[in-house]
Amino acid sequence: MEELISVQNVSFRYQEEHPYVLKDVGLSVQKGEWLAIVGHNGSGKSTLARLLNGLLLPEKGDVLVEGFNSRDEESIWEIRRRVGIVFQNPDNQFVGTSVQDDVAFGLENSGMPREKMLKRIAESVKKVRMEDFLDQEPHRLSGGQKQRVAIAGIIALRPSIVILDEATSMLDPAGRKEVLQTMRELKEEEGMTVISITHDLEEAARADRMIVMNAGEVIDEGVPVDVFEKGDMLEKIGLDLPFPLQVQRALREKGYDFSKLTLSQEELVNELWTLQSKS
Amino acid sequence: MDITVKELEHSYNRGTPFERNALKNINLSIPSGTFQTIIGHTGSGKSTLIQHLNGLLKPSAGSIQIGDFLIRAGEKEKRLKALRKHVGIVFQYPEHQLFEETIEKDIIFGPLNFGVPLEEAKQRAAKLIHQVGLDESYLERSPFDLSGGQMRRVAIAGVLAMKPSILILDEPTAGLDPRGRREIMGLFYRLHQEEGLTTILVTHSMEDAAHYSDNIVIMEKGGIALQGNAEHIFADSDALKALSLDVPETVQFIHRLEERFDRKLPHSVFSLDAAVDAALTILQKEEKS
Repeated sequence: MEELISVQNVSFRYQEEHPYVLKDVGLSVQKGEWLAIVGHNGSGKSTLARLLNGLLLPEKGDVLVEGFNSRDEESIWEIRRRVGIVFQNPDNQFVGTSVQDDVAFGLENSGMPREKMLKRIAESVKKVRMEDFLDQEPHRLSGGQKQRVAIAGIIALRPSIVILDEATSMLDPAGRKEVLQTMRELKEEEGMTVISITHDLEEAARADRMIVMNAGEVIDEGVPVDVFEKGDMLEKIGLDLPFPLQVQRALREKGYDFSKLTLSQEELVNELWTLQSKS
Repeated sequence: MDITVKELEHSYNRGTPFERNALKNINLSIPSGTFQTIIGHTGSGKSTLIQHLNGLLKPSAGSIQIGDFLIRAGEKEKRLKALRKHVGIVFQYPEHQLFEETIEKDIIFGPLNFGVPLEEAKQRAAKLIHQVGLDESYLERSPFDLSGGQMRRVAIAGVLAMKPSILILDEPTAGLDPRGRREIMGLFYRLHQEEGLTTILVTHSMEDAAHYSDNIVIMEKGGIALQGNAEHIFADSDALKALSLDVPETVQFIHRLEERFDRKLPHSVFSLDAAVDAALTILQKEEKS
């Protein structure tokens, strides 16, 4: 596996004399994975996202993106080109007056020739299935559609990593599904690396790997099923467990022994079937 | 105060080419003390409907009776300010509306505006800051130094400070983490019971709808598509699917169990405990046989 991002012993605070928001954080992001970063409000997740693309710089430690160190002034643009962020509020990141203009914004800034730019816009907008909306104004779009346009604007710049910073938390269930589905397609079809900062644990359960943050520290890391196995720890820091897991934990307390924990209802019902046929 | 909505219609941009019918023939009765939930997709008319309940929007046709206040199309209800004292609305992301220097000033702004004496308003603030889960040391602080979740609590205290008898909540937990969501919903439910409030909750969460509501309304394209208690609404998952809405996870689980084990189970299962009990019934019955 190829390492795209390496975060080494990073500490960060917004002002001197204020408490550290991140404390000695270390992590690595592999090419092509879907990494979920979970933690409650104020655990330092969003600060971490901003360090990963050089919007913020570490006070201690280093952030390396494909070998570029964010401390190095000449690297910063290399990093920002490689790491795109979709933020929480769909209304705060729409800069164009139409879908087309909005997607063009980043490309214009990179000084791309017009012909090439138009081609890139068409490609990117198609990938997020917004090609029928090219001339639409932002206020005619739903939250989910706006977030997909934000994703198009980012992938037009051909980044290697897209960070979703609670990008679905202001959307309704339909909008949330739409955006996650779009990102999953980009991951499968284009090999995009995705870092999803979220407190939707159902979503985290579908990630390849997850990281749990609390009070500025990484307190756990692993494949979701292993992390969820430590349910008490997650509950203690204010996160919920996916419903199938809650049912299994309650049944365990009543003396039923599951061979393995499951994160989907379908698997849970299968496990119950196995249990019942054993007895 | 009982709320009765009769044949309510609302169109935006009336008389222009952009006219759009946002509400059509809404009939709804909310007896005093009810926990009423409104569900629907973005654009289904939920927000338009609740803005009629304190006179922020006027009906294009039909009427809204709230206690002895009557809002009718084409007529002016002269006592809107008095009505608004009774109907508190917690809008989406209410923390965006904080503006005062200190938290106390923000909380007492509404009551002072409605003529409550300063001392009494301050007493309310001191009591409310505890109720929303913060302590009195916060009162002198700036609301803008707080975390998003804390700011929301302060904004909610500001609405409660007006002692509304009807409390309208427009997606009050959007963007909060799971613990924050539980705490805020717990707070509203406690207030609903202790103060005998009429609570109207707009939400996308089927779990919250199932858990708290006396009555649920499902809106679609400006009209009411389904109406009833949780048991009734979630009994027909096909009708919900047709509206692209889900049933609560607990109900999904029951359906899966029924299908796999070819058994009939009670459908009004809206809590984890009830879902676990259903699983136990299956495991235990099968053991005995």
